[in-house]
Amino acid sequence: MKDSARGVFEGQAVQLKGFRDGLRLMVDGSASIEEIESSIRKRMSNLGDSLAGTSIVLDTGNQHLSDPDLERISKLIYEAYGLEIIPDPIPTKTEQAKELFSPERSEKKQADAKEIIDRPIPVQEQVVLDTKPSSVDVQKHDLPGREATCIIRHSLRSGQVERFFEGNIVLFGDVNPGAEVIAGGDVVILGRLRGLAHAGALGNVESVIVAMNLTPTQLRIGHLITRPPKNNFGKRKMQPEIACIENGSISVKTFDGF
Amino acid sequence: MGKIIVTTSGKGGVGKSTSVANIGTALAMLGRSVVVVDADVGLRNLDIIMGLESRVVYTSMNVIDGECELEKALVIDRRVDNLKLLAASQRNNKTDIQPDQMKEICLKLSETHDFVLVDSPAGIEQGFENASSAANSALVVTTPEVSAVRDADRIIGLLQSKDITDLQLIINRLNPELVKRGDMLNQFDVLDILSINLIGIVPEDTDIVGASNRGLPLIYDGTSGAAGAYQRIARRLDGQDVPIPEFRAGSWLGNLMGKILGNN
Repeated sequence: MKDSARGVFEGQAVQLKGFRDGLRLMVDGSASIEEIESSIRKRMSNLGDSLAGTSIVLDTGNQHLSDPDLERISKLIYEAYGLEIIPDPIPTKTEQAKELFSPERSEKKQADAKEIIDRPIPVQEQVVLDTKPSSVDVQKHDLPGREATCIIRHSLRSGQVERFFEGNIVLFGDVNPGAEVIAGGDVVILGRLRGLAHAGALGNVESVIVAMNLTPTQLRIGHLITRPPKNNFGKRKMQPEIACIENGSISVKTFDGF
Repeated sequence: MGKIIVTTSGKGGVGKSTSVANIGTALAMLGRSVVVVDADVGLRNLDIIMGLESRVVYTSMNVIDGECELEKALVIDRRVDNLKLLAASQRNNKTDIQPDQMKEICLKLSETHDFVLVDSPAGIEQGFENASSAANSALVVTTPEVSAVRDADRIIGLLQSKDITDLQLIINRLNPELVKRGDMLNQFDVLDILSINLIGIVPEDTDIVGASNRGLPLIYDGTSGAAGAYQRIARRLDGQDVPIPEFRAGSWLGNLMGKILGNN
């Protein structure tokens, strides 16, 4: 277990994944608390303030961390990154395995269960820029070629924030100034984007932002931030545009389909 | 049961208290029974604008503390029938009253009055929570400038999350000269972002300042532009169908048509 776990975590003691509108921190419980803390810092650096106020689930697999260690991790995560740890809403692979491991089951089922625990967690390929490293994966959907996407069917008013770290966001409506849309994947606004959008919020530099009218206060993709040109607010017509990272910076182009 | 309307804005100084004073008075002039409630504990000014400061003996704080009956705390405006004021305490602050307590007072008042107009303080914190606790509808006041509209959008989001869905917008202090020059947002720019029903536009009116200081709401002076606007808003609140006139630079009177086809 430990070796394959280390392999999965790429030699790091923790792995960070988008999970619904929050995050999932997978911790290699066999690592020392110092290794875990240092790995957390490494994974979380460069992620910016789009994460503030987000919930995070701690997944230690079939290992158990001691209470003082858990305490230390919780404290670090909350004080340094503003993330609040919530209970795991879905049973971990371990718990699933525990059910299957009951003595009443046949040996074949026990073997199946063992395979579930040992199966590595899929890792998405990343485009690597020579700037800062991206550190987190967008969870691939179970069906190949499909990605988890959240549809929001209303406009956002100033002060409202929608997060979906697990995948992409499609919004039917406007995003008003002062509102924020934050996705682990792409952001598509079928309306006016006048507020803030952050695509690839966990470090994916391939993510894009599309809007029918792109007049944002600020755009963020991956770890890059850009603001619109000075005379941008004159635009009233619906003129679809797409923002993506090109040559190390965010560029905006007219959008007429993929 | 009367209607409980909270007048709020998010931003300070956009004309909430002025609107409550003038609209409340106008509704009373139309024959409705009205009580205006100042929810700005600690920074009260509804009584000043209405010219009733010297007659306030008991405030909502006294009522909540059980020192006096609600009826006794209501100041009766002698200039027009059926208009009363429940003043806020100046020596306390907003944390001294809980939303439940305000709610109880407003509900009680709505049993015996057609309109309970609650003047909310600026902000989105406890003062706003207290003021909106009993409301079933809201008047959102904004001026046609970017910061005010931003704050109004925030407050509308908060009102909607409280299931207060009857939201009416007042655009206050519109200055057609500045709109013409491109220095000020026009009503369409504002409505584009706020997307709620517009119940009225009140033009910039220098007479407001004097009226405020003298405690004589402008509504009593039929000739002023703002007074006319508040009259129309009161009539709309009362269920009448009154068109919004066009405000052109250089002329305050106008007709309905042109605006839709015109400026934009």
